[in-house]
Amino acid sequence: MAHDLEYPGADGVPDWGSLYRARGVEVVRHRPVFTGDVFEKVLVQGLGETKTKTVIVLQHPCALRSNGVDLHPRLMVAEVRNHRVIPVEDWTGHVSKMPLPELIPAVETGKRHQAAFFEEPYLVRSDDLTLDKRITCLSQMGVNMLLQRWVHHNSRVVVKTAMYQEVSSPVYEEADLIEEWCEERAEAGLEIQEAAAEAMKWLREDINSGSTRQRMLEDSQQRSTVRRQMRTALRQFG
Amino acid sequence: MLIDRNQELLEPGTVGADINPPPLLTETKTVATTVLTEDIGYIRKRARNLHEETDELHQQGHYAEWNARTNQQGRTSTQEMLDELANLGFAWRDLAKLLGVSVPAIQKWRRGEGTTGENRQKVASLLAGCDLVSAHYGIQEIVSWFEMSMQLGVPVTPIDLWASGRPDLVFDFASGHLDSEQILTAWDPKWRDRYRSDFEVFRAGDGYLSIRQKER
Repeated sequence: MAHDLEYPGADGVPDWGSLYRARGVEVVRHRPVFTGDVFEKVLVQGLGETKTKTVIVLQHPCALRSNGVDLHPRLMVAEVRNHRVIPVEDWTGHVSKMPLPELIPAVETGKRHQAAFFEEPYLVRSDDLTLDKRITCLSQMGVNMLLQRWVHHNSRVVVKTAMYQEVSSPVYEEADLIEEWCEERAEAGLEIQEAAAEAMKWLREDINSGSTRQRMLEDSQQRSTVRRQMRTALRQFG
Repeated sequence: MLIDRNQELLEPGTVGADINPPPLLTETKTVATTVLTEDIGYIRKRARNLHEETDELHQQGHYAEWNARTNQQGRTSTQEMLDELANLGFAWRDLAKLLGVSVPAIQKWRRGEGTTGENRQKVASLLAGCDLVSAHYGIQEIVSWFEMSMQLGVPVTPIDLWASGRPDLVFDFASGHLDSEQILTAWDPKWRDRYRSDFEVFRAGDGYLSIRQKER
């Protein structure tokens, strides 16, 4: 069976909602910035002038941060703007775009359906990607599809999303755990950045002659153990 | 009347086993073996029917017990049931997938916001399913089991089976009555093609997982 660019859904039936983890009011501040996050009103340097645009983070999850907590000063993004719904049978085409149908489900205007345009990439200052500007976080499957299309756009190679899933699962899991940690620790009055640093320290703690919980997350069979340990650790903070 | 040619054979010598014709059967023997074949065929058919009936009966048993356990679990609040699932080690995103809702919906339930009766039932049935496979099939670390690929190189887990509305396959996989290939085929007959890949995951020089083409 030849393999091509994939679409959200199965047997020709779309499941647009499965692209997203959270949209609009569902987006929480505690989640660390991740590949596929959509931000609005971000300053970008156009040809000769500075503009504000809605953008999606393209950088691979492993290439977002220098030390696990702090984002690289500049990140690669692509412009996001209105676009008609691309039917699932056409997802093999439109290779220079990542369709984002029902990105803003609360509206019925043309703004409801959008797409990321890979031919309009920008480098943005990461300190301009503030959490109050974030309007969408992609699901893990959405991130996998974005990576599949972005890599194909740049290299003409199609890699199954299942492969991206295997590679990006540990870092997606890490983002989930940091979100949970920050949410719990916010109740104790910690700022997000402070709580994220605390979570990362816990994940990178040497637990068994050089092994860390962060490394354990690479093994799907050990992830539930790390989650249980983390929830126990959070309860111990009281 | 058939002649028993075995009586007429010459001394075969050391190569006899290679040159001797197969022994001819008498009519009596032919009739007896025909009857035997029919009998065995009948027994085989009965065994197959019995196998199918016991499969069905076993599944009915699973469902009946699962229902009873669901009703039992459903007595506690959704929030408490979610806490219990979290303590087992489930990721919130996997719970969302298993229950067919969004992650934000799960987050709302965790904060105690109301759920519909249907959603409460879904949470209870998942917890009951975990109880059932742990109790009957001695599965340790139930969440780790739910996250385990069913076959090397095939990224399908019991979570995928459950999320697609096939708890029966989850129970069959746990019981070991069907092997992983049978389960995967029942779930998606095209699974071999769907998950065949020319790429593999490896650890790159910087220590991170990466993707490369397989060696042919």
